[in-house]
Amino acid sequence: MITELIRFLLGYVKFEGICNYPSKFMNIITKENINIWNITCKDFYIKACIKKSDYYIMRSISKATGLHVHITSKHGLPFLISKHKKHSGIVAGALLFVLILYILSLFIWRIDISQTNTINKEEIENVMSDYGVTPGTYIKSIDSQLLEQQIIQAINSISWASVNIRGCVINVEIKERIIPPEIENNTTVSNLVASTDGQIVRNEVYSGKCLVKEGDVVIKGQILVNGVIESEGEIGETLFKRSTGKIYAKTIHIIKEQTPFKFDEKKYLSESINRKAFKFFNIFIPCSFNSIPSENCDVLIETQRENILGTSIPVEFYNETFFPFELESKSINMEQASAILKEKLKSHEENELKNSVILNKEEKYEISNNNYTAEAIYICEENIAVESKLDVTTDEEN
Amino acid sequence: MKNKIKKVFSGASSITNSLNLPLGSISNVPRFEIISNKEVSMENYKNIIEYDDNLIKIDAYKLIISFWGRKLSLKCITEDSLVIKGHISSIEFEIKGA
Repeated sequence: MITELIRFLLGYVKFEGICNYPSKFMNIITKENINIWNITCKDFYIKACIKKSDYYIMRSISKATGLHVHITSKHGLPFLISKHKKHSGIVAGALLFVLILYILSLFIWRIDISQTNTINKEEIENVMSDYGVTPGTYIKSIDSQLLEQQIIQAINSISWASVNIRGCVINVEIKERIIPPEIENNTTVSNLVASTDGQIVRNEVYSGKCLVKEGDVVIKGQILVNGVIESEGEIGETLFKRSTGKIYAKTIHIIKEQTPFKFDEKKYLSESINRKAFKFFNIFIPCSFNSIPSENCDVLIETQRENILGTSIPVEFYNETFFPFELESKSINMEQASAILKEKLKSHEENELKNSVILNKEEKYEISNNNYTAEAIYICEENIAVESKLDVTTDEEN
Repeated sequence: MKNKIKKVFSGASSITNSLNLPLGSISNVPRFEIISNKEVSMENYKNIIEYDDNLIKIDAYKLIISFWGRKLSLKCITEDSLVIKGHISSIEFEIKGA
């Protein structure tokens, strides 16, 4: 293989001729240290291969042995170059191709991240980008071991990461951290306090000393169940407990919403402006030069990564579509405004009062400063007890 | 034939035997490597006596070695070694002047 490559690089010719004394010819050639190969001889008809530079020496020798040779074919790089001497563009193009291929092989083309369940691949890509590793980064500037540590430090839910550079591709393999379930600590001392103002309806206390009874009015932050219990005996022992239970109370929630009777609405113009561009490594190259509308336009950006035979290449196509619009003044009547407000209040109920039972609801609507305002007063029943931990240090711990 | 070949190399073999050296370490002794009947590599030859696609006769100093076969060709040749390719049917050894 290597011999054939050297022969190709140096160039060789195949020749043939009729010789009465082929053995004599062979002996002279070898004594002159001329290298010939693939020699066949049949009925004084000799065929062989010889190095380009040795051919003319061999020809002068062959005359002495009565051999008249002629070249049948020429092979190798020197002949290819001389053949395409007139087509210098092709040679230059080929050289340029090799040069470009070499330069491109110095940079990262693609980042492959292993499949993850909870971590978004974009999150990992963003972290790598923050540390300067993106498609187009110079390969030798990447310290894979350092990058592994940086990924683990940046994303808490990753327990192990491996970064391998194979050719122009970075393979990132990660293992997600399995967070153990929180162990309920019964030694924690806590109170139950009121999360909002209200009137106690009923209570279900599982541990701790209940300080409120049905009908009591409590304010936000007031202790409902105490975790510090003093025994009533003569010794005066104090017990520290974790308070658990549910304290239901009637609470009042006031939600206000408003909507204007006149507002500006987007009216899209029929013409949309399209701009195309492509990103090669980190170089952004625009393909169209349409001007961007200065204001009042929405933008839709579509990106498409190109691939060849299933392998993605560092070329990304961008398609930006601008939708210009005009702001048109629109007015609504009271019925429409009322419907909008009802919808908004319903949304609030579903989100903010989802854990409460609504006992009563009172809605008030009024017009003020070109706005239609709604105020809803909800009387609800809900569990207002929230745990508040106490920092207790015993003598034993000291 | 075998006795004659032994006689030729008796001088060389006696030296190598006494010095406990391999026979191939003495120069001008032809050496062969035969791969099946398709290829023969030969070192230490003097010159080619006859060359055709059926017969290649080689002067190997004290021996004349003939390779008989079909479609014989010289794959490559240098001053002291050569490679014969083809279908080799027989190899014949002759002692010079015998």
